[in-house]
Amino acid sequence: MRRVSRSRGATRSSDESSFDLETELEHLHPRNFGWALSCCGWDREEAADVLQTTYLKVLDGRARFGNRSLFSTWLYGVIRRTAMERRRRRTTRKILLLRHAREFVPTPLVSTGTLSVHAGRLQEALATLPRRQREILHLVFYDDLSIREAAEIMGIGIGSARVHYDRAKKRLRRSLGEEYQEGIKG
Amino acid sequence: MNSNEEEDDLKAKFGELRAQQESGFPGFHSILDRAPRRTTHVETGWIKCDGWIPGLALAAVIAAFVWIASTGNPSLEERFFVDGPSAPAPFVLGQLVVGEWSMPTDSLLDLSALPGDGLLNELPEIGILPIQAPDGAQNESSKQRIPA
Repeated sequence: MRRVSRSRGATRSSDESSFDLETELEHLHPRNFGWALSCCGWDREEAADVLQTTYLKVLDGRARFGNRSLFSTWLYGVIRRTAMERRRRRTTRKILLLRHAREFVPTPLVSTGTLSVHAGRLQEALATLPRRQREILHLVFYDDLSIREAAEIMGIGIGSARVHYDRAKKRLRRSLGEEYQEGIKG
Repeated sequence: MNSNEEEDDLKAKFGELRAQQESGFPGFHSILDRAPRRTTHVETGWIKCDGWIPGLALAAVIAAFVWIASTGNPSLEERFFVDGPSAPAPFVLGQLVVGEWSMPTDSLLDLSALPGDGLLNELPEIGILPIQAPDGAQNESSKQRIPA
């Protein structure tokens, strides 16, 4: 089994202090699931599939940690790519099966059944944002990452990441409206 | 509006969302050991495959097989040659190219006529056949009269 080492709360590969890759995946799992949900438009089944595929890729060695960043950052990138691959495949399938479109019942993009009103509204507002804007807000505010780390995960430059970040905040402010203003005052 | 206040508020909102979402997440091992959803499962005798691409490929092969069987088994010549094997081949004689040659079929029934008689009878009607000089020009000396 491949082994990586922990560093600054995340991990870097090293020969000195190492531990199981599976243990590290398990340790990061809750955050991974949140990120997978965001990448999949809060479709829980799809997020679970994406996460399983990602874990198998990592454990089988199909996705290899190149030690060029934090392990958690790299893993987020793998989750994001896996979700995009599956989305592309699903789109192709829908096009090919277009004649059965009447029978196709799309799953709701946002399922806020178990969330409070505030959290549900935030999730709905996030769902209206473009993908990159949604991703950067999630990485910065949900995962407490810096804009630079978010840019690395998203595979874009730091300048583009800042632009997405600013636009995302403005759009989210507009979407949340009064509730947002009350939150600032309160 | 202070940017720091705005970011703090967003962090609080996202923190609340994260706390509520994480409480309902499935565990690591339940994710790892879950059976993946299958879009198509094809299992016909000796063929076993998962996924929609093998299913479509198999359906395409079967459809092609049925189409070939339903249209009979035409020969390659009929399938690929537009004119078919019975199209008249052009008859080339020197610079004279006769694409369509017609001959009364009565002579074929005349058993006393020798093969080629019909051809010899037809040639005088063509008259003088110009023979092209190497430089492309024609002159009188190069014209030859075909004897009747």
